[in-house]
Amino acid sequence: MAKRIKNIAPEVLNAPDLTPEELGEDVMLDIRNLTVHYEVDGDVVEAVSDVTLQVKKRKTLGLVGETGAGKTTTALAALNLIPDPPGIIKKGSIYVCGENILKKRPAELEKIRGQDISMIFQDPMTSLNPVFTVGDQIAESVRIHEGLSKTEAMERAMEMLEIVGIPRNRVNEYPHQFSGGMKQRVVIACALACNPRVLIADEPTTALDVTIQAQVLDLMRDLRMKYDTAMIMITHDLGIVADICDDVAVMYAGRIIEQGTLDEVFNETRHPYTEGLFNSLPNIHDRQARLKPIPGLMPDPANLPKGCAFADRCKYATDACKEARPVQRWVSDTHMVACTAYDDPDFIIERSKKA
Amino acid sequence: MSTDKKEKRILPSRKYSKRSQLGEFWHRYSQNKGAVIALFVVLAIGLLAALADVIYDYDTQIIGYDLTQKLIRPCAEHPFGTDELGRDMLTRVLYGAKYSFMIGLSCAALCFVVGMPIGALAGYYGGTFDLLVMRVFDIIGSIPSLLIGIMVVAALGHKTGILIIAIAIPGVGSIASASRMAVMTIRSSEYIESARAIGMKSFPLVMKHVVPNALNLIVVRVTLQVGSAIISASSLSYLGLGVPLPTPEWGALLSGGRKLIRTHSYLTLFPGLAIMITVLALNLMGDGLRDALDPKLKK
Amino acid sequence: MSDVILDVRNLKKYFKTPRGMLHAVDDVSFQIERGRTLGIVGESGCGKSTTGRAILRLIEPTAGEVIFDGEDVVKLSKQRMREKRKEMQIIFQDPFSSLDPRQTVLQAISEPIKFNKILTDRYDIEMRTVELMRTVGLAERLINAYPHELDGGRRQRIGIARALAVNPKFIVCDEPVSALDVSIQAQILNLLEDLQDQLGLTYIFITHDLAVVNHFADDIAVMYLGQVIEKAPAEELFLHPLHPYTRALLSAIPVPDTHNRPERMVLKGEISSPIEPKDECRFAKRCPFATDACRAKCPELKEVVKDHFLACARYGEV
Repeated sequence: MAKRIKNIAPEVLNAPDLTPEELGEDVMLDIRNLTVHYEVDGDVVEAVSDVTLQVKKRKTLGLVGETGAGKTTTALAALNLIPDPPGIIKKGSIYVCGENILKKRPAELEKIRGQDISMIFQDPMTSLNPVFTVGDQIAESVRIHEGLSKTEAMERAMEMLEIVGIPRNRVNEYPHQFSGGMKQRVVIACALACNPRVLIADEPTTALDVTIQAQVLDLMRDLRMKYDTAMIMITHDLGIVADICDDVAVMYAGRIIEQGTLDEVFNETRHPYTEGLFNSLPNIHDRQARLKPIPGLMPDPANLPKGCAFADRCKYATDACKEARPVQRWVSDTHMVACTAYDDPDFIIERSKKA
Repeated sequence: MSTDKKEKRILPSRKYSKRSQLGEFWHRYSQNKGAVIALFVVLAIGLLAALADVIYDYDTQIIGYDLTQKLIRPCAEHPFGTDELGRDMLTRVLYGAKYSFMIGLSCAALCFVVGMPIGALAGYYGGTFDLLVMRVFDIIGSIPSLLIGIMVVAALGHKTGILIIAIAIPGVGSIASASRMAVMTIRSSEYIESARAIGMKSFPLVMKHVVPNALNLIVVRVTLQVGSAIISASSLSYLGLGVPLPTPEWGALLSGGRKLIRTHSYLTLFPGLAIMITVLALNLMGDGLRDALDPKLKK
Repeated sequence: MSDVILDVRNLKKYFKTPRGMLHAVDDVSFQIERGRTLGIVGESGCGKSTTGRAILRLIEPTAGEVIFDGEDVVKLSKQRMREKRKEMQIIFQDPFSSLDPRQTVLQAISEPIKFNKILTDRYDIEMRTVELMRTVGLAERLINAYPHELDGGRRQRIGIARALAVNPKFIVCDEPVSALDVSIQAQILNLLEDLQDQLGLTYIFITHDLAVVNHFADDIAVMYLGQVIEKAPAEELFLHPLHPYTRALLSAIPVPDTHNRPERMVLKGEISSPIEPKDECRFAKRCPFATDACRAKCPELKEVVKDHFLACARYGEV
């Protein structure tokens, strides 16, 4: 097979395709064993290692983690948009709506992006072009993907604005005439204009005020049901996860360390890092309680320890944790944790003791 | 004070190694191979310019002529050939570095000394002063720089000092506006507010925080200014308004070879190449400096 | 009389814009007792940062009094104000831009000590710097590091050490943790709490994060378009929010809990302009309970229950 995109390793391109049976029904996005490296000046940064995710129709997966945990890289990989150089997809497969997007030609990719999979970026100010009206920008993507005429596309743009709660008569205004919250809604309208079947939202509300954030989240929830969209919500805010997600994957230093349904991860927490995240948050019902931060910092991704990357910050860590990478352990059909401490069948973290 | 008490007083900062700013700067500059080569080229030309009078005797080797040797094409003895008065072109081109480089450097220095404070003050205080200064520079900027050069030289005379001023005038504006932008960016940054919050007065604040950070940004512009001044000086000399012959300034050399360009193109080729290589090297060096000095690119 | 360290009276800051005066801070008054923390919350553009800076005169207030320890700092000469800044400090939001990229940790922390001539001997200055670094939890070996070599949490610690260097009594914390990851955020919040206990500091804590302010502040003032619309002890405010805006704000907090999810009150309508505002309740356009009375006159901040201040014409009705 000819090499099409130069930042994908040959093993990835030569791997046999998965059959529809293997992919499963209703799975809109399937990422398996994804490993992405950034190679800068001879240093290899393992940005994402061995990440496996699935999102089904109408479901939302929350991808949680700190800055540098590899959330955004995973998302960019799903669009086959890893910056090249320095990014290289080393291993794994990514299927969007049953298509292996790592084996697509650039022209095919352009069709898939926007129509099958779309992304909302964190900063609405930089993802809108200041010299075009918002209507033009929404209409443009519809015209590219659905071949509508100019008037039809404009009509669709107005519909989309209405859906995101902006009066249709503002279609001919420029981005600077909108407030921050409205701009983010315009970005969402752009992303949704072609009814993508998979939507990746990278911290879509971080730049917004809480009351506006609430509006945007409500909107996304409605749209998901209306258009059967599968969604990945990248965030560091566990509150937003609780609000809108069905499943949760927690990333740390490039790996998924705990994954499960919302209920499993929040109420039957297994991983010490997930517990640490919860303890770091101020408890709104108990304002006197002292915060219990996770000590230390995430290790340098260019220089990860050979054992568990979290071991140095973990109060439960033993020597065994520092020796080898923890294996993924399935505690139920849907709940996975990667923690060596569970080699001891009696091990239980404090948060789960209380529950 | 007893000696052993003194020994105990080791400054905490001495206990730990400090990455020198220069070392770090060089580390980042050296990433850009083109810029490193350019730096050596510039250094070589600079050295040549500085030592020109030590290496060569002006009266005999540079302007002394020997008509028996005239118009020899490039050969082993005269790699750049000789001109119509039998002078070795290699010697003249190399010696010419002295003029071109000196003019370029002094122009850039003049632009910096005049333009930087004006621009910095305009950027720091803003208001009417800013408006006035910037309008004046806008007006100067709208006149072609060659025209300014011609006017100044024509009005004030045919001297190297005048030439330098004539070339520097448009450059002052560009350095001033670069300084203004740099200062405005820095002035609005939080570390300036932070310095005011600890009670710093305006003057030390400007000297400690604004100037050093602004210099990073301006140094690049000044480097580029050297190159453009060399070009302007050569253009004026070519038009016969700059350094007059027999002085081997590169523009003057070009002008001298112009009449014979059809038959003896090497007379114009080598001075032309000298200008090109010098300016290119300066520009590449400027590029390298910009990347190495930008604190945002650090890491 | 209780021990009031800071008494802000009718503070105003207007900015000139091409479309008229922008009322960034419009008649804000509050008091803080020594050793307590006042949280100021509000959304972007509500004037909370401007209020903090106007108190320190980093921005000159248009009108009003800021009585700090019995002295109106607005009336001080520039020279006297610089002296006063030793007692009043600020910690900035963005640890990336609030440090001079060319200064080492030592230079950044020792600058206020040197400049204010608190110490003059080089050895004493460096020892004091090391002590401050220890106080804020920075390892001594980082003394010669540059900001760009450090992560956000450590940079914020430098910012805190810099503020502490002059032994202040009062610190304005302007969104000190918004730019940090949650696990680091908790480290910094705990540090600020410990410092308050050890040094008896008084804080103004400016933030848009209600969960953080609830945890951190003793009293909370809610600002909307330049005005304080509600102020109460933190617990009281969270249990009995009275202003419709406060209620909407509280209901919009994303709670990391899958049980007892709050009923959300979603606001509609446009945000009024802070430029030349009309004499009406500034929240009226978005308020589901607004009546003609609300649009006729801007309500004043009044004490409706003990220690609970409210600016709403419809108190008692909704």
